[in-house]
Amino acid sequence: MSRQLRRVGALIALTLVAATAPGCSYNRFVAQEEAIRTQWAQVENQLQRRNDLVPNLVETTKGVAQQERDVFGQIAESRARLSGAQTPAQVMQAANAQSAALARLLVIVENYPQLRSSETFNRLMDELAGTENRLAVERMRYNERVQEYNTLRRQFPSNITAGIFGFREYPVFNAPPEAERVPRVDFSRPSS
Amino acid sequence: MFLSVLLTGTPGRAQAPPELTVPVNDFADVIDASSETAMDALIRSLQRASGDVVVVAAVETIAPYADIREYAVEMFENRGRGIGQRGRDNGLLVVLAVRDRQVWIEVGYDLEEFIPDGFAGETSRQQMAPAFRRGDYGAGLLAGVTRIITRIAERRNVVLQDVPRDAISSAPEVGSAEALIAALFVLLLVLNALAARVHGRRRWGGPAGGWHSGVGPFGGGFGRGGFGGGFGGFGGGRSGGGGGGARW
Repeated sequence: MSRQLRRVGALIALTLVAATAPGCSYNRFVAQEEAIRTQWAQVENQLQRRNDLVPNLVETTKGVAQQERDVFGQIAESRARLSGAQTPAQVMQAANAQSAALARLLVIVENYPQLRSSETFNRLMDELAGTENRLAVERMRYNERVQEYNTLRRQFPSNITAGIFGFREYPVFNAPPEAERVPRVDFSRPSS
Repeated sequence: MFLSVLLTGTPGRAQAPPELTVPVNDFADVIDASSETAMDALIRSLQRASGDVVVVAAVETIAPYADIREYAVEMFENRGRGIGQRGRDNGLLVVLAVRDRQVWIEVGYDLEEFIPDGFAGETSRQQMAPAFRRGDYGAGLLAGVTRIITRIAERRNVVLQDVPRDAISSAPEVGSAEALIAALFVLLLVLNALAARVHGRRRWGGPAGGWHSGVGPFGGGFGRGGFGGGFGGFGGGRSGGGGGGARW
């Protein structure tokens, strides 16, 4: 057997080993990318859910708090931006703008006791708070997936695999500081 | 320097919520025995009937967590043995934080359609908070849990069996037709429970399949038995932050 043949054989074996070796991580990249996409879909579901809730919320509060034009304008704008967003980065930006606008609305409605005494309004606030919370949870889970993936992407030796196969970096979904905490809904007054 | 680490570190990981092992987890020691027994029976009965798992926890405080919702999500995950069945996500958690004067109902994905946020919020405000305000934690929790379980059973179209004797006497005034129906319902269950007691204890088990399907670090496991037989309600169910709550 010629030396060359042996060399080719060794090369093939080496490639196989490299492709399947744990250090190469190709399959882990694929699996993690898939997990990120699935989780991102969850985030988008919650954004959609919130977007669907907004008209109802505006409808209920506008009658009483009509002079708060600014905040209703911001909410409408963020809703349009979210609907038109193409890339995940745009979605994140629009979602954060909406979070901020809704948080402002929640602060404002505190000044209207007639709203707070209506159970319909309270239930709507429950839905909004619940949706914000769902969004926060799904966003956190998305970020966990992304961090795991991005870490692997930069570690040696899996960074070589990432380079060869072009596994790109995924963006982390950072909430703006004012929306980091779920808007606080004051439950203190019992309705009856 | 240590202080700065403490302040900036992630407190959630450092001091996770206590582990849930039984239907009613009274870490704060505020639930009276009869309410506890009644809730335990109701919860087990629902699980037998539909597989859904309701878990109650009373804690002194959610600290170092800032928000009870965050705390509830973490507690629901229960260190990998989440409430409800893996894949079905049919769990529900009621967390009472006594010193923080807050309650939150965290709803598993699958139960969100039966227990929407508005229902969870209303139950917290109207059934639970009034009793909590009086310091009657057991009764408040029982009233809330009764309403939740009745609703799930209704929507699942199942009949609860083997339920408690004290549910009625210790339930706080609710004053609606709904409460009356719930009370009658519970009474029926009590009679059933007494009848069942004659036949001896039944095994408390979920549906045969699905419990051990998990692999990896989150393998679905059976919870440890507290009192009254093992409670298999911690099979790796998940929640996504849905629910409602109240302060008082």
